[in-house]
Amino acid sequence: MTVILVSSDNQDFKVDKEVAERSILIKNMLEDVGESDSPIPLPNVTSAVLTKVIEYCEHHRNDPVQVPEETDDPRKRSNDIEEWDMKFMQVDQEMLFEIILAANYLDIKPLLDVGCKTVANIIKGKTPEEIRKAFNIVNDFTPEEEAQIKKENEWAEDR
Amino acid sequence: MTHPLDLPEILIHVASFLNTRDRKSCLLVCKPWHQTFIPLIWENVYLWTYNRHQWPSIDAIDRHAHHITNLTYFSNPPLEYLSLPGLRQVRFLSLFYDGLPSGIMNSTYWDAATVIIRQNLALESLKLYDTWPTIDTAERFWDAVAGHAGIKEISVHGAMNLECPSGEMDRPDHGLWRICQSQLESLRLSHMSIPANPDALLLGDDIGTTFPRMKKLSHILVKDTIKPEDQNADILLRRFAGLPCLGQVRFLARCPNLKDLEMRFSYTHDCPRDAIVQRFAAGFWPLLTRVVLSVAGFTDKELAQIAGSLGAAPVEELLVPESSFGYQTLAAFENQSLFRNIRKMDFYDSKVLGWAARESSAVVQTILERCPVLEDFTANYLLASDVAHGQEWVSTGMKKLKVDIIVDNDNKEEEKGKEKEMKSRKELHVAVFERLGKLHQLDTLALLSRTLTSAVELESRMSLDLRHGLGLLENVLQLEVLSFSNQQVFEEEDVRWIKDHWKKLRQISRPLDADPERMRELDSAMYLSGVNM
Repeated sequence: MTVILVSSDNQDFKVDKEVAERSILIKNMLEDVGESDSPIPLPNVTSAVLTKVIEYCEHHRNDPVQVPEETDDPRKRSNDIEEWDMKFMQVDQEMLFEIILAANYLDIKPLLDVGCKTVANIIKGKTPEEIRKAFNIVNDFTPEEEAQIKKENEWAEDR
Repeated sequence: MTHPLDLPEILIHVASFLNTRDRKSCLLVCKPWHQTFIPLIWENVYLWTYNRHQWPSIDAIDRHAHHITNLTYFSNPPLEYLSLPGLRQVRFLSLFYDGLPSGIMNSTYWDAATVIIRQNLALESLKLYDTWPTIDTAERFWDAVAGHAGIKEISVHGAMNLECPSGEMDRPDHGLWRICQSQLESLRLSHMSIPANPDALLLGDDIGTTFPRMKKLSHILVKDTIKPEDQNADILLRRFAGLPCLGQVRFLARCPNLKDLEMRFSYTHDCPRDAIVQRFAAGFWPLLTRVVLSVAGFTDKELAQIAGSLGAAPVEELLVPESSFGYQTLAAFENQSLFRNIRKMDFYDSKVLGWAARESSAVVQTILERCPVLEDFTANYLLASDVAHGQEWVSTGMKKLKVDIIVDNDNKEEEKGKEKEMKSRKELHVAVFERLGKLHQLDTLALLSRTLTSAVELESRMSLDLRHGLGLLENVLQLEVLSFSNQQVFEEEDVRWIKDHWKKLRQISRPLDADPERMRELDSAMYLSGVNM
């Protein structure tokens, strides 16, 4: 069985139901609507991004459904990205962010994880200035504020 | 386009993959990031005596106190660090004594701790480690605990190590017993004593409903409390020689809704075996999913009685190291169809010596044939001939297998002779590798002998190389840890195969080869691919 997804720029994408249902949002929509052939509009996702998202869902169509892990350590690892996912994420930053937004909107937890891990890996080991540069962020602190923040959080140990 | 890093929920998700050092850099990026990261920096605060110079300033801690959810005090911090009006969100509070002479807690400390408990309505969990309130403040402290509507979990360690007011816990209206009755879901007591006869002390006579919410109970080396007036020889023996503590079994009898029971004993600290077996036999805990009875020293018959009484309890973990898991227990398992649910099992027993222990091997092989969802299995021995003549393993979801596999001389082999023996050895290897090769989820394979083993016996351990059939593990791709106790003779092709197939391998035991020079080469080949030795 297939479903039709419509991107924000009005392109139709015909995909297997099983693939589309990697998105919890779409899965819930299909369940609510029941048996229906009507296309599903995704006004927040462009065709370029939707193509990528579908590529991801196709590749992971047979993955077991992720169960929320119960670990004692809330800090998770970001160095465990699969080889295929790593290659998949080798896109320019704009696309990376679009994928993250789409994964968030479509509720595709594993894709959101991979996206956020990729961002985390960009941040790792960088100074604040390097992070600003990497993401084109403007420093809105005064030097005094910066010094104050540094001082009051100095105690936090690396764990 | 909205920028995803402008969305706090996504930034927090990214932060979950960062360590404190990187989180501190993120704090300084810009104001919106600061706002998102500040609670993450402050959620955990440890005030450890040894790193006094690194404590946050009192001004800073005051300013960010409302972010703190996990707070740990070591020993005797200055009062100003204890009396923080802004502390309102603490969910986990831990009080540790760290052994420093300056750290003996006084009543001011305990009164301040009492205030923290009263003013943090979100508090769920309280840990006391080698710290007990002095008599004068104990009552106020435990009253505050018992009067708190949210605390679900309490852990107390080492009440005997301090000058514990003996008999303090013997009071029937002690706050700890009261909160057990009203709401406590998890209680861990370790290295301490409890009253020998809590039944007589606790309120109410209805044994079955005393601690109705208790789901998880851990008793680690718990002993009976000695009252000063009882200090006769027998009681002293009980305290110092470690006679079975009956108080804890009576305590257990108060918790009918237990899901998780853990009791650890030691070789000098006897388990009240009869009392525990009786308690199980009464069919008391229908909800149990996890049972740990460590170093309890149960006989096969006793363990069979326990297994037999688990009945319909959905037990998924059964860890009974240092007890005798033999044919009787196995039969009890079969009768109760416990095989169906069990995910984790440990019945390693150091008393089973030498690989002559056929019973141990037969039990292990049977378990592997019968337990479809077993993921983590620790036991003594498995003879390759039992594997070769046994059925297929159904435990194909196995992740961690820790058992000493012996390539024995196949008894069914009549003919003698070196060549025949070699052939048989190869066939046995193949039989074992074939079974192991179907455990596609395996991440840990520990073929360890933990008892003293002679060189001759070591020779009968698995040879983990391609010539003996290692290639049959080609679909076991998740392996992270491989250990063995015998000398392996690895060739380059073996190392290459391992590197090609086990990309996640991070630990392998040595030595890989007898020749030091070759060993260094193999070592560095492994090391270069990121494997710890």
